[in-house]
Amino acid sequence: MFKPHIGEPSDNDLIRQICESDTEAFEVLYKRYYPKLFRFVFRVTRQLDQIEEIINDTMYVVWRRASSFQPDARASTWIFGIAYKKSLKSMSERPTGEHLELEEAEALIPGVQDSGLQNLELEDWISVAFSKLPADQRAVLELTYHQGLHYQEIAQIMDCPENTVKTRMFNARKKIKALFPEFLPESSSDHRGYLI
Amino acid sequence: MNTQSSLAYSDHDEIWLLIPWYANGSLAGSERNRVKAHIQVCLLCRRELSNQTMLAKKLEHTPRVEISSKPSFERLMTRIHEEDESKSNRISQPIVSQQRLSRWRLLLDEFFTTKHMVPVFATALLAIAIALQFGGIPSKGIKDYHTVANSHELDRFGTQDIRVIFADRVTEQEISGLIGSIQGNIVDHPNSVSAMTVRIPDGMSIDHAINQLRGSKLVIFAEPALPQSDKPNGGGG
Repeated sequence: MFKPHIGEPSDNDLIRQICESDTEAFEVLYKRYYPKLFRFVFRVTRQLDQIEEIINDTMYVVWRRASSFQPDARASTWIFGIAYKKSLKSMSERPTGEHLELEEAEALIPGVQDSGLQNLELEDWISVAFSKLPADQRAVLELTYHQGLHYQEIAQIMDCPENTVKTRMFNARKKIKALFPEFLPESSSDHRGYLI
Repeated sequence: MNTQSSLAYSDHDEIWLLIPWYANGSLAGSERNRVKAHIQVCLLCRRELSNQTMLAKKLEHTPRVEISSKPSFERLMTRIHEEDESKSNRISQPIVSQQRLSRWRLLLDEFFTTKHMVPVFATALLAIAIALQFGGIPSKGIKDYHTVANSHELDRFGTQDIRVIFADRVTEQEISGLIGSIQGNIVDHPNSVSAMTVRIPDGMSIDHAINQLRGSKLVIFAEPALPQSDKPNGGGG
């Protein structure tokens, strides 16, 4: 995950440079993570107008606490972990159901291109499914299927036991099948398989 | 069903939970092999794997959001710089204050040596003493102050009336005797300051009567009830 191109510094290299207050390294890391965090935060919070603030709160922690990062750990796990906590905090501070419409949100997000955001929200039936799931299940789905992470790493990001990650995924799958039976048919009510 | 198949199937529920991570390719080693072996013998899990692979592809192919990070990054750096500046100001402000304070201390040390402090203390003590001497009027005395000649009572009195204050522990008989000696009558009983009013008969000299009363040790105070402006006052008792 997040493997830099040949010749580019790794995430851990950049964090090492950030420890020495290297703003250029920080900008490289920021640019590298911005689209990933944007998508992740949107998937978790579904609050378009809060995304930039959450990303900047996350990267602010990266800048301030770069020296506390363990060099043998994965930078992405650390950064996504911060972003997840910030997302939950933002959601807890905001009454449920208070979401901006797309048109309103676009005006708030700098540099957004209409087509991309609308595709993300409207042309993707998964967005509909995501909207019906709680934030923790949305996070597990996103980290598994878009970021391609192992459940152990997801557990680290979400700061919970591995079994909790599996349970959240199980419940998310069940709900998606119930919502879109034609797309993901439910094979059996108790998920008992049979031999062939 | 052979033994190997039975073993592969026995942990169906556990494998069912792992399918998403088999689908995203993050499982490795023995864990991956276990799922693979189970899928080969379990139709339900094979279908689920197909569903999850489709879901994964759908999620992977969700269009990327083309958003410029530059304005956001600039805002973040502004925030960081502003915080750094205010932090450095907060640190430098106490230093400036301390410098000012120490400058004042130096000035005070220079001008207020022991030699200078003696007259300063002496002046301060003198000021306190003067304030106590002239400024200390107890407010209680003003509040409780009474006089035997309140101006608003003068209308009631006549020219033959005398205000008398007797000594402490005088008997009623002694008072009657004294008043009788000047042929007087009590017209006003003792007021709040124990002054009673005695009226002597018309034609009798008030000065004489007052002098007679003042001659007794039992009388503390004897004065005409009305001011006598036409002749000099005889003085208090």
